[in-house]
Amino acid sequence: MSSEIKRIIVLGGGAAGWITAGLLAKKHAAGVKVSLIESPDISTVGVGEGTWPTMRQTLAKLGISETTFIQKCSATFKQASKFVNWINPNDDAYYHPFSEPQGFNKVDLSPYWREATQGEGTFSQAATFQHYLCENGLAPKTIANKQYEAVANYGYHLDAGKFIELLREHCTTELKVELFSDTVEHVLMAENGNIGSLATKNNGNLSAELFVDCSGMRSELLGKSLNVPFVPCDDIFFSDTAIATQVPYPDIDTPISSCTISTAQDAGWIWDIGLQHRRGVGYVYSSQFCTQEQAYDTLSQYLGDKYKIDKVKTIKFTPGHRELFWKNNCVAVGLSAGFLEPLEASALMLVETSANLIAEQLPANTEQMQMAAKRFNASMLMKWRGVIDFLKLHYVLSKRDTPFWVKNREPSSVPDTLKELLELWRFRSPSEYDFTDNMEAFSAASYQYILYGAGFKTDFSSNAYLYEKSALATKQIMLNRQRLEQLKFSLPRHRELLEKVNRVGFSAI
Amino acid sequence: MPNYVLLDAVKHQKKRILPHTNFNHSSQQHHASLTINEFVQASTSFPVVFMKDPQEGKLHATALLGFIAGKNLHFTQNDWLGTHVPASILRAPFELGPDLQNDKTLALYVDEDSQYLSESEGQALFDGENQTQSLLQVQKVFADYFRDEIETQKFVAQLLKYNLLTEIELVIQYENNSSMKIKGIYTINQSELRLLSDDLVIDFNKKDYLTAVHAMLASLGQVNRLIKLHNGSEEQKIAGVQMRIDSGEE
Repeated sequence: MSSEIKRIIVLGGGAAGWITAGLLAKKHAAGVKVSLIESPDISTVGVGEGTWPTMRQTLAKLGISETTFIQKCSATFKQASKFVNWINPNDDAYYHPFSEPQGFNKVDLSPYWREATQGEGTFSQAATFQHYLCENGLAPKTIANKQYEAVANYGYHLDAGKFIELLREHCTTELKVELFSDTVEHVLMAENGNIGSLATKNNGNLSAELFVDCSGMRSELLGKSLNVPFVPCDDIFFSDTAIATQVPYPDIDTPISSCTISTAQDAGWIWDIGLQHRRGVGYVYSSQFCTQEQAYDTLSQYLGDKYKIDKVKTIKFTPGHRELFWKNNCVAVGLSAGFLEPLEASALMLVETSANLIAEQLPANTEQMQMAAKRFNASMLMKWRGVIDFLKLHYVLSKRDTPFWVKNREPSSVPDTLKELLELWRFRSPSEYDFTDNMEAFSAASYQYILYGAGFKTDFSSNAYLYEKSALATKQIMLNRQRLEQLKFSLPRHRELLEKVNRVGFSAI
Repeated sequence: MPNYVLLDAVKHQKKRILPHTNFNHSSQQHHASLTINEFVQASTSFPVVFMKDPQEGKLHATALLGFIAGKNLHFTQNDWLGTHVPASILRAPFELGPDLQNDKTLALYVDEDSQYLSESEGQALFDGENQTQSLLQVQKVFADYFRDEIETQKFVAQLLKYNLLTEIELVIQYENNSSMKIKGIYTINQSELRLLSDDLVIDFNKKDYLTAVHAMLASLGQVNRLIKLHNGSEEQKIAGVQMRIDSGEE
């Protein structure tokens, strides 16, 4: 028996839940009722979190003004990830900027940049002015740019707790998402193995044609009720614990970084995210190689002698994802689908991708559900595989020698797909044809930034006949330099732009 | 570069003002600010648009005087090639600036390097401690200007509120086949204007906003006049200019 999809229930009021509910309501409100059940007992934590540039489209789609978002979420502009000491323990850094290499669609700079720059500077310096913007604390746009418009590609750093508040407010008032502040006591299964309804404490049994599981790592519906197994990736990624804290700025005019600074440590790495009013800093490490006490020491050392850490939040996790993400009438978005580690801010990106995919491909009726689920699972598995390879790439390029890093380079811990790519890239650069599936998470540009940033050498000489675009490549590098000379003077400092956004805001035109 | 300093009875005791001759000081200005009361007059000579200031991102009414930064196509040694001269150009050598003693008020500044300032000829500004009739006249001009500027900002706020503005991109095609894009120019969004409610149309009419809106729309035709003026100069000749309305996409 087939029936129309009339109601969707989202379980869980975190960022995943609200983004999914919002995107679904935005597109389907005329035909489908979207409800969200949020537990009144579970509080959300104000962790500083990074996003991808995709968040700009997501917010615009939801109809949230960029000014409101920045004002309410203590948000800042993120232009890159900076990897410090990932290759060697001392004085070593490279960037993964969000802007593509100059002329990326015309010519691949990787075979040419070393010669064209005569060995001066790094790949990201030659390829994009964004490297300089990050190094010098400049913003990716000016106050005269309209909202969501970029001069240099950017995402955000945001206060996750405040972000959820903004999404909740916007989704309930503007997008007509129905909110139940209630606790689900148990799940009632239908005879066909579907989820029938959710028995709530105060609102009785709530039923729907489709349930979205955004219940976090507990994976209440997909994991617990539908028994979809968890596929651990702890043979690939060894971090399993994070300690997070908040650090105030020493002065009100301390520069705010517009990249996520990720600094490698003996048993993991420290993230450092600059929000408007404070930094969010944390150490993600492997408990196999580091005690909690050692982790605290490492974090204090990073923050400097004067800084005394209090209020630390500890998060335990097993890296991995569900075997399926959509089963029967239940689809998981966010931590309920899986989590690897905070590297490269893939968590919110996966939420955005999943939510968009569900909203765009929502089956017309329950009969269509199996097919929609099959396609969704195939796409998302591809996406997760891409994220796993890309994150792992950061580790395998390291030359650090503590047991954690040595273990990360053990061939048995490297997925075959990544091994193959690395082998191919010994003789040619990452190309868009390596990632033909458009659901691939990271582009060839991202792989190039990591690979050549980390000092990987591709031997282009054996196919030298392929590389005759030296003049065009040199021209792109020159264009990038010219563009930088203009931008140096026209772009404001990051903190200055944030101050203006708070005072006057971006215009919609 | 102008060198504006706060006008001061002691410091500028001996200064005299010369009449404007050929607006030489505007020769490198490719745009000039306008106030709403000038729109109809200005539209007979230039494209009347809005541009954002890079500091605050605020929209300002602007007359386009040329296509290339640093080149005012309306200025020649002998003649001003237009029927209107923007009041902002006539205000030289004076300008409004912050009053350093008083947070919220503005004070008169003078460009000390201006060609219109002399110690031998022209109208005196001060007579001992007193302001001369000439200076009082200047102050009246600036009081009017200040009022007009506030009116202009109110107008802009209404246009923004009702989504009546849109960005246009000028794509300049040169005869040698190269091209140049000019962004950051804003004009009236005609399709939104058509949807304006009856009540607002009446309201806009009573405030003379409708006149200003239509003057702006009609003035876009003056781009063709700019091309003519441009092609009469030594610069690379323009074959045509395309106006692209912002589609809202990035």
